[in-house]
Amino acid sequence: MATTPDGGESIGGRGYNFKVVLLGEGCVGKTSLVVRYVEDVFNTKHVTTLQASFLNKKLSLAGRRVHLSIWDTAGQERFHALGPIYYRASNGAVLVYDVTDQDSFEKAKNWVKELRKMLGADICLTIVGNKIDLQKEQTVDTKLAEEYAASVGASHFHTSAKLNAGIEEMFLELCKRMLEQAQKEAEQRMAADFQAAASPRRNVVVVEDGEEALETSGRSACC
Amino acid sequence: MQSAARGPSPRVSEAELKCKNDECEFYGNAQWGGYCSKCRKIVASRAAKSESRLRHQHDSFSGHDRSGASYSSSGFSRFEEKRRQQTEKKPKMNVFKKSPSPKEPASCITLAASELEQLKQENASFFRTIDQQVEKDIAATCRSHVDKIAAVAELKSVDELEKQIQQVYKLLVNKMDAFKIYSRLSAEEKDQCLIYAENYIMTCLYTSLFCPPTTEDENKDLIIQNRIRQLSWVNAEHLECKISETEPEVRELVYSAITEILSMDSARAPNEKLSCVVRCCGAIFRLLQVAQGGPASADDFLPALIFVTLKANPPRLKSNINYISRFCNENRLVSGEAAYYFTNLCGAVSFIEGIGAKSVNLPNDEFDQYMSGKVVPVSTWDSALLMCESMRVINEQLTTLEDLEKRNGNTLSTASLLHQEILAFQDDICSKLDALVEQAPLILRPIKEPTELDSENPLTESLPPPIVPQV
Ligand SMILES: Nc1nc2c(ncn2[C@@H]2O[C@H](COP(=O)(O)OP(=O)(O)O)[C@@H](O)[C@H]2O)c(=O)[nH]1
Ligand SMILES: [Mg+2]
Ligand SMILES: [Zn+2]
Repeated sequence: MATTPDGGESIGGRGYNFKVVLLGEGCVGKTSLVVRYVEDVFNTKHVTTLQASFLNKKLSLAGRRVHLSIWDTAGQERFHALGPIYYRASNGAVLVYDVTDQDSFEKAKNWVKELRKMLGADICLTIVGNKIDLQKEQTVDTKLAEEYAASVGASHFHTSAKLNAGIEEMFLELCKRMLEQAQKEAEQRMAADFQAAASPRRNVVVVEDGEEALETSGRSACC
Repeated sequence: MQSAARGPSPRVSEAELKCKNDECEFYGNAQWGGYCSKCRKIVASRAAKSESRLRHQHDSFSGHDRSGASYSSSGFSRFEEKRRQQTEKKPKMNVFKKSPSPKEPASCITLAASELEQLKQENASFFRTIDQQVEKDIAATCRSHVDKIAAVAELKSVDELEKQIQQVYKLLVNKMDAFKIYSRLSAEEKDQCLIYAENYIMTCLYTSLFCPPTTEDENKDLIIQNRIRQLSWVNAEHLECKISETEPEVRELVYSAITEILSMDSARAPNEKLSCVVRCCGAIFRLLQVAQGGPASADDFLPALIFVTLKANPPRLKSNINYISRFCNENRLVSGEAAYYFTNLCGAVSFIEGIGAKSVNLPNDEFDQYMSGKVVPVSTWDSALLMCESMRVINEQLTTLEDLEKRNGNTLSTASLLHQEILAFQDDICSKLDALVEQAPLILRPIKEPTELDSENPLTESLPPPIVPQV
């Protein structure tokens, strides 16, 4: 969904559209992170938009235009079961924990397990230890956290929404990986299309005629 | 309000909402002649059958109705019986029937004519700024797609139809990228054209694709509706949602959020339904802003949306959600503002389906008591609910009115069609008569006058002389 089969820019040449979902226990700083990133303020009371749960950010990466939709999620425990509804079709997920709260790190690990199980390697994961400004009270071991992230194919970052530290880098790195992933998928699709094009039936793909194209442009179109 | 202590009043009597088939438990729908989707299909297929029977009446083996047995619910079949008798009593007029039958089943494009006209009006100014030709091309393309899909809509499963529609959306994008008349348009303009096309197609196909009888949608609607009724005691506190119940401004916004979510059911195209969800969520964010003096985060938003959904109890909730998920352009449901709000609505519904004592922070026994209706918690929202009920009634009546207006229009146009048919029939007969008369002209010869033998008529002079008997 992020790219068109021609492997170029998607959605009418307007660039890539990425959906990133924020997951983590309540009060670890998910909302603060995204508000800091998009609006560059710490206190949500100062946000200019009507809401701070769904935010857009446009950036340019390696000459590509990227449109980032960041979806905040409700962190209350009773909403945990709704996770799949939110992370469906996401390109990336940011799993946030509070460096002063071991419990929140365990919750983040649970999210990683669930996401890998449900979406496999298609989704780019970033584990974020927030509130690093409270280093004195840090209880989650940095080295362990980094090792864990590496073991599940995720990146690890420390951030502080309060001091605006590490946030830009974290989202930028995630975008790069999502872009690579999208290009990889586009190449695979192109290869598949190329194969399909070799079959004579593929020639009938006409924009005008729905029925013909419908039959031939299915995923396993060739005979 | 003086009647604040009373619970919500029943809006329309249950019987009126039920399917016209007495034996059926489902809800009826005005668009389907008061039947539920299943019964409507049966009625429609019966009607089609008896019509084709009428058309081929001289075919000797049209007789037995095998399908009768499977739908033997008495009231319904009696009604059907009557209907069949009436259709069959019609005099045979095959002799003068003009070759293509004028009573072809109306296509869904003709049926949606007034909605399409409205859609066109809404987009008229946009197409005036670009090119009227573009609108014509889109409409023609859409009509051909609609015809193809409508022809198979009854035969295919929803999943297949979903794939087919999504494929059509992709084809439209390709077409707009490839064809010359679209080449001057900006990306935004193309997107608006695409939305127009999507709305055009789905406005036509709405009746076939909304809550199709091959799915369980209708059952699920009933289940969630009953569930929400059972949960009528849930208030803002239970959901830990920051809605200050006493503030009039907040209350107003709650009502407008409810109105918006209720209006979702009457929209036809998935994009339009989605817009209702977006407007509902917009009202929720405004009310949260008023309530807490800052922008709301997901932690505040979701409980508020759940609250609004519970208080609104939107009709055919599951059908609407499934219809949007299946037939809205999937790109619009993946990322973007509308996608986020719609996802939250799905989340809210899923939460409601699974609500238990823990999710509303109550001990198990208290929760059970509320659910069974034995105990009703005191709530300032009781009075508000009354108002919500009235709003819902107004909303439903507006929909009914709209429907009546449409049906009235239909009747009028059918009447004028009938009028034309009568005239044509008359002409037809006249011309046939003329032709017959020409073939076998009736020539009136002057009456021969009996010859008066005795008169002095000069004619008699020329007669031969009377035969004289010869002896
Ligand atoms: N010290 C510190 N506090 C933070 C930081 N990020 C968030 N907070 C605070 O943590 C609390 C919860 O933040 P919030 O963004 O609402 O968390 P969410 O529930 O995960 O969305 C708020 O009081 C924030 O002010 C941070 O980087 N450092
Ligand atoms: Mg939050
Ligand atoms: Zn019925």
